[in-house]
Amino acid sequence: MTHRILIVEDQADIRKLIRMTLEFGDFELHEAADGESGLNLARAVRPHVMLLDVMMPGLLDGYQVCRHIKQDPQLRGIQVIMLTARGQATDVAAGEDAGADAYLVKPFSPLELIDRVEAMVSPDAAP
Amino acid sequence: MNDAFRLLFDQVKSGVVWVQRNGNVRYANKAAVQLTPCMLGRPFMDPAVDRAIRSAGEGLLTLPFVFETRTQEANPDTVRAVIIPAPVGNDLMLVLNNVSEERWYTQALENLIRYIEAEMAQPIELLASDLVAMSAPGGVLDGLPGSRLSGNAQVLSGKLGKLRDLVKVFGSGAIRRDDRIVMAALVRRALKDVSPQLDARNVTITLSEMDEEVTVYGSPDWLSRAVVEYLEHVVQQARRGAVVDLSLTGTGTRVLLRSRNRGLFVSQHDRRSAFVPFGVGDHPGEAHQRIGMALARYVVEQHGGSVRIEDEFDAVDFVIEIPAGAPATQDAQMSVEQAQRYAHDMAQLMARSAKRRATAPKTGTSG
Repeated sequence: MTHRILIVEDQADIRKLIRMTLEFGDFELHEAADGESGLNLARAVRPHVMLLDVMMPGLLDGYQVCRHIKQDPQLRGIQVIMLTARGQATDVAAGEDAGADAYLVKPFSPLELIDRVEAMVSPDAAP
Repeated sequence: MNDAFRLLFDQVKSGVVWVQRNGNVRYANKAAVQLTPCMLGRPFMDPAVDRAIRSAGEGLLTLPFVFETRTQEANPDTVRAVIIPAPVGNDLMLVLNNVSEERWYTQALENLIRYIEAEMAQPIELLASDLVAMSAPGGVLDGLPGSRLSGNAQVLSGKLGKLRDLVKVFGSGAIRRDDRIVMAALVRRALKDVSPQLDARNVTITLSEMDEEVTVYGSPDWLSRAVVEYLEHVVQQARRGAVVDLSLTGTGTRVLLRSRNRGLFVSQHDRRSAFVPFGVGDHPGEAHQRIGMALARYVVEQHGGSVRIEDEFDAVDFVIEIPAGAPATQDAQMSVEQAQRYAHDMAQLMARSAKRRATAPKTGTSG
C-alpha cells in the first residue's frame, strides 16, 4: 500500500529537498505552501503523515494547523511531524500542546526523516 | 477629464485640482481635499485660493503662478500652491504641497527640545532639589516624603525610558522577529498596562471582537511596547468619559488591531503630528507624549506592518496592521544547510533504495 504524505512548508527549496528525500521511499506525495492550503489539502487528501513547518506566513501557522487536525474527528488520525528551525524546550512543548506526534529540528537528517515517516506508516506502528 | 488623468492624479502625493477658468472645481484628488476645502462644481472655499484662480482664469497672472496658503485648521500648515495650465483644453490646474510636512526633521528637533522642557524639566528640578536637601550637612531623608522622591524619580525614569527606547529602536537594524506572539494575549496585557491612563481619563475600552487565534512572529518585547504606546495614544486622543471600541481580527494574510472612537474628529494637523517624534501640545501644560506613536509606528513597520489613522462616517479608527504568521522570507542559509544534510545522507539513501529494489518481490516482467 502506498501511503500518502502531505508536505506543508513555505520555503520552496526545503519543500523540494523533503520531496527528493521521500522519493527514495514508496509514498504518494502532496505539497502545500502555507497553513491554510495545507489544512484544506489534508481534508481533501487525508494523508497518513503530515510534515508540517511551524513558521509560515498567513493566518494559520504550523501549531494552529496541527491543532485543527487533532481537534477534527475526521482528521485526527493523521500523524503530524512538526518541522522547525527552533528546537528549544518551549517550542517542543508548544508542538506537544498542539498535539504533534513528532518534532524535527531543521536542518534535519533526511535519513532520520524517512525513518520517522516509515516507522509511522508501518503496520507495527501504534495507532 | 478622462479616466487616465483621474487614475494618474489619484496616485500622486501632491494635491491636484482641475479647475475651470470661472473658478469651479472639476476634479480634486484626496490629497487636495485634505489641504484645501473644495467641492465639485463649486468655487474654492478658501477665498485666497479662489481669488488666485479667478485672476489666472482672466489672464491677469503669468503661469505658472506660485503662492502660499494655509490649511483651514486650528493649527494650520503652510501649503505651497502652483497654478498651471491644464494639460488639455483651456482649464487650469492647481498643485498643492504641504510645506510644513517637509519641515518634518526641523519640527522633530524643535519638538525634542519642547519635550524636554514640557515633560522632563519639572521632575528634574524636583529631584535635584530633593537630592540637594539630602546632601546638605545633616541632611537626611527624614522630613522628605520618601514617596515624593521615588515618585519624581519614577516620572523622570519613564520619560528617559521613552527617549532611550526611541534611540534604541531607531539606532538598531531590523528587529529580530522570530518569536511566536499570540496577539490576543499581547493586547490584553497591553490593556492592563494602560489601565492607569484609562482611569485617569475615565475612558472605557470595549472589546467588540477578539480573534484568539491570530498570531504574528516578531519581537514580543518591542511589539508589546508598540501596542502599549498605541493604546496610550488612543486614550489620550479620546474625550474624557469616551467609549472606545477595540477589535482584533485576522483577514487574509493580515492582522488588524482597530480602535474605533465614535464622534471623534482628528484634524489633519493632529493626524500628521501624531507620528512626529517628541511632539507635544501647543501649551506645555497640555503636553502630549506623542513620542509613543512614532515609536509604535517604527516598531510595527519593522514587523512589516503599518500604523494609520482612518476616517469612517462617524468615527476615527486608529489601526495597527501586521502581516499574519511568519515573515514571508526565504531563509537561504537554512536551505543551504538542509541541502548539505541531504548531500551528506544521499549515498546512504541511494544504497538503501537499491537494496530495497533488490529484495522487493518481482510483480511483473519487464521489457
